[in-house]
Amino acid sequence: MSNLRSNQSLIIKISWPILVSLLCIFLYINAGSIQAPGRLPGQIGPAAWPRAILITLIFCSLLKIILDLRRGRHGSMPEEGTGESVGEVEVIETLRSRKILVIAILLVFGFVLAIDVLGFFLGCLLFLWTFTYLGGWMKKIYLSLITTLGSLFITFLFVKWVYIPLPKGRFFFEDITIAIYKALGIF
Amino acid sequence: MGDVATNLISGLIASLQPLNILMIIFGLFIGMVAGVLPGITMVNAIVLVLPFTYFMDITPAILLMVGIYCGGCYAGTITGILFNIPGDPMNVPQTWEGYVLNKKKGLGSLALGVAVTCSALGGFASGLIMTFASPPFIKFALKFSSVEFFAIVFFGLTSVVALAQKNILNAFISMIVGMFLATVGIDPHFGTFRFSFGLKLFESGIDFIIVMIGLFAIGEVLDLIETEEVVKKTTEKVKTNMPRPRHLWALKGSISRGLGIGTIIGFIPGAGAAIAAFVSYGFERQVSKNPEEFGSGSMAGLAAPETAANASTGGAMMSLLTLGIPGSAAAAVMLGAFKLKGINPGPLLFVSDPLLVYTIFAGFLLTNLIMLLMGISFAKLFAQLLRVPQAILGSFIVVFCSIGAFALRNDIIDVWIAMIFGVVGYIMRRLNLPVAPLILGLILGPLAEDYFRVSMILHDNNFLVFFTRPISGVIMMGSFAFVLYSLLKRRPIKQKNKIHTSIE
Repeated sequence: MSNLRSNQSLIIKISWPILVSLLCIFLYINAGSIQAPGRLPGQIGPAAWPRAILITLIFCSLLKIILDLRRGRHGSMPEEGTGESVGEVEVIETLRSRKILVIAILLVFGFVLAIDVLGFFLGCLLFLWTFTYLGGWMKKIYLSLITTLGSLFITFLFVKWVYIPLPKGRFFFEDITIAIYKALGIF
Repeated sequence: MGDVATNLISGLIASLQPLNILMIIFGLFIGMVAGVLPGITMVNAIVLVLPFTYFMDITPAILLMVGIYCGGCYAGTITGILFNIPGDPMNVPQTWEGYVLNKKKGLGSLALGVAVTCSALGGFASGLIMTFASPPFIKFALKFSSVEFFAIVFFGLTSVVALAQKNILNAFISMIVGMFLATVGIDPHFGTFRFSFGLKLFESGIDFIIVMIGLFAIGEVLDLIETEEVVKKTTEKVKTNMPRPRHLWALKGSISRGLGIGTIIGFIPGAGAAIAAFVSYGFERQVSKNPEEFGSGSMAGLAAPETAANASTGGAMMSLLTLGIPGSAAAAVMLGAFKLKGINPGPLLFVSDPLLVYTIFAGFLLTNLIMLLMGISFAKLFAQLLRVPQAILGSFIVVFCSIGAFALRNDIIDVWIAMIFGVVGYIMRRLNLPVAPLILGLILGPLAEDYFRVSMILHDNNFLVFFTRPISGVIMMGSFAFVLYSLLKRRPIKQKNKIHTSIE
């Protein structure tokens, strides 16, 4: 079981440098299409610097793969510089379900979509409520109160005082946002 | 010296304007709140206030950030001493000693007093060094050409890697990725698009502020939501006892060494308060007459890293204001604030707007004095903040970040980019890839490219020019020596496995 787990860990460790290397090769080839109008003979072109960076990145990624493979073969060696610490930290931390993380990521992206479509106020309200609930704060009345007041305060603060034209939303949501702005005295 | 004093008085008068003082106090408060909350770092807090600075003048905007910077460096030690929970990585060495002083020796109140005094002393003294050392340094820096500036940026890039203590290769990869991301967009010399793939999204380049918002704040929130933290501590008996002069006199060596180490490390681009605190702690243990006391409640082990952490802020600010190169991640956000106002920090700023520079210097000194008062008065209040549910904090951080990203260009695309980098930041944390080198690569990369290409045009593509000119040659050789020394020094560290930290 532990062998399987260490193999999985090794695969994850070497998979990202492989992906980075492949991406770098693609970008290196793509750099060939960068135009250099008016370039003088002997002058360094616009592709030279990024190409040098990409070569360095490919080299480092390959080195990373080799080192991780060597570590994997010789058993799991500790990361450089890690080890016993002089003090100990007593925070009680437990890793929650990966499902919560995936939902959180979806919520974060959903929030961007929501402020674009529903407008900032409604998107913010919806996001604050769901994200806080997901984070384990289940007191629904307090939650509703805090998120509603929070959304109103943030909207008022940034639109009225800081003059940021936060998205009003699309379709009829724009009318709702404008109505809220009027109620807040922003318009 | 006379000019500096006159300018400093003018700066002091300007920084005493009600709005500026208010921003310092407000900044200190936010910084201390962020500092005591584990998972919310001082850099997160500086990123979060960025949208508030868009419509401010540059002086209050920078003073607000300076307040957060200094307050955030200190406050994490409060919860470290009281509950063994360091608010920030930079407060870990102080926690090792402070918590033992509190729980085993019953010196918690005095430890809190020593911490706030040393922090304020470190910040104030490094502020004085910054104020009086900057003008002669500027005279020297004004003689620099692109060759010398390239050498300085190169030193900054190598130091990012050399100071990475967990995994040097991961830090290097992270930095190179940052340097590559900086090449996306319009080439500054030829005006052609690089790696834009015909997408409007990439044509204007990737703004490092948006990347910072994503990597530091959103990534942190995702990390927070995945871990459930239970903190049940009482704060009823919390109070701060100020150390007597004899206590401070006994710690004079530790404070002086912390000040020196902190200021120098702060000045080095890429190295921040965490590295300053750890290096200072390690050094203090080496020079101590009683090294066996370290780990079992040493006041010197608390004083030295605490002084160094806040002294690094002065060094980092000096690097930012004199060279335009941020000495830390927090200074990098300040660089963003300067750029948003169309101001380029560097030697010429001292000539074009000395009042701004000296107002920042004076404000920095004031910040540390006010921090001392706030630290003594509000330690209990800040400690109680640990009870705020992280779910609420996390959700509000995402909202503030989205506003910060949106307000840069009033474009929702920037919010999408910030969120994407947030996920990237989370993945980087899980893969043990430090995010700070990526940001430094993103900031220093374009500078390095520009200075390199200009140097090559001026010197007929002669690469040796970086080594043949005296100043650049010394800096380049110093860079290589620094990397070599760091690599060689890693061996005993690896064997002993005593102290560990990340570049963040």
